[in-house]
Amino acid sequence: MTINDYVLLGLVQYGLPVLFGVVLMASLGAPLPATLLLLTAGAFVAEGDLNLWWVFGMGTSAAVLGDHLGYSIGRWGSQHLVEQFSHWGGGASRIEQAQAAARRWGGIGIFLSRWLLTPIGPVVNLTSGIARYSLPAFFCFDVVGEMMWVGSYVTLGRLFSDQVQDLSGVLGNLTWVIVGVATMALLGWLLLRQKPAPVPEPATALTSIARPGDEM
Amino acid sequence: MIYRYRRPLLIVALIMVSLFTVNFAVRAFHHGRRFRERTDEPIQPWMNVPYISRAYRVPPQVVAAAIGLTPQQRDRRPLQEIAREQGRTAETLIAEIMAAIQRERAAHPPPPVAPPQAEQPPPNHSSSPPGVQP
Repeated sequence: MTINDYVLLGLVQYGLPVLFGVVLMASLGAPLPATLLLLTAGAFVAEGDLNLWWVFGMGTSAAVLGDHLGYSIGRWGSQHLVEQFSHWGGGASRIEQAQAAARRWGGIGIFLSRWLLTPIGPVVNLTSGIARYSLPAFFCFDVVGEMMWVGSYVTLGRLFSDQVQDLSGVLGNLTWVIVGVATMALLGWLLLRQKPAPVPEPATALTSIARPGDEM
Repeated sequence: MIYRYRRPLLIVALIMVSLFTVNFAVRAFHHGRRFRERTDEPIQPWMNVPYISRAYRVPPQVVAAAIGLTPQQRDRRPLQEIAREQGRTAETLIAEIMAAIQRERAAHPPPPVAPPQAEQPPPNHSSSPPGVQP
């Protein structure tokens, strides 16, 4: 049996506590099949085995709690982590730039990484905390995004309850395709932005420049 | 030092991310085709009787009876738990359920899908019997 089978077995046997625990851990970055779990929970809602509002409430609460734990680790957890980030990122000035970028673009990034670019969600939580993004704003974008994520996946599971595994395969892989395309766009932009390496000029030219007062 | 190799590193990263993206796109397409064709999901030990019944579009009584459960009661336990209680393996139960589903489908085949309506050929006036309007 795979990890997916164990998680789904837990859902069938124990119901909502397993849903809450798995979604919480996945929001913190654990490699657990939260998407498949929500779709399957939707299928069990269609069967009448689980209550829609309990699934929606527990799923959203777990995701929001996990996101805020990730944010808290970044913001208050470890000064060492921030120093490392500062070191990798290029020093204190880069951190200030990152904070300015987070203030400007953080909201849309947090919102999209809740339901569309879900694989980068845990990283966005951590970096939002490190960049000291406003906690009330993080909370608002997070709650709206997670409600969309849980609501849409549970609804899809209800509608296509006889094809949950293939639906999960489509959505899970498409999410990675979107992340890949976004990363390719970023790398392409960095490549285009980078100036070509300067070609060293001949020594004679350098000596002529080195003499001040020479006429051109 | 890293700035010297920045451009080659970016190109290598771009190639790797492209391969990664194509791989996931192919997998998404494969699952999408199965989804569109409504291919049966393989039965797993975590599934319960109502779930299998819905996934295979057969009455729950057929699935329950196949593994020796009372068809009247709605049993929500996973196959793994039922198998443990019966002292058998989940694989044995899955094989019995699959056989029962095939028998049920053979006895009650789904209604055939109507072929798309072909365009009617234009009526041949010369061959119409006299007095019959085409």
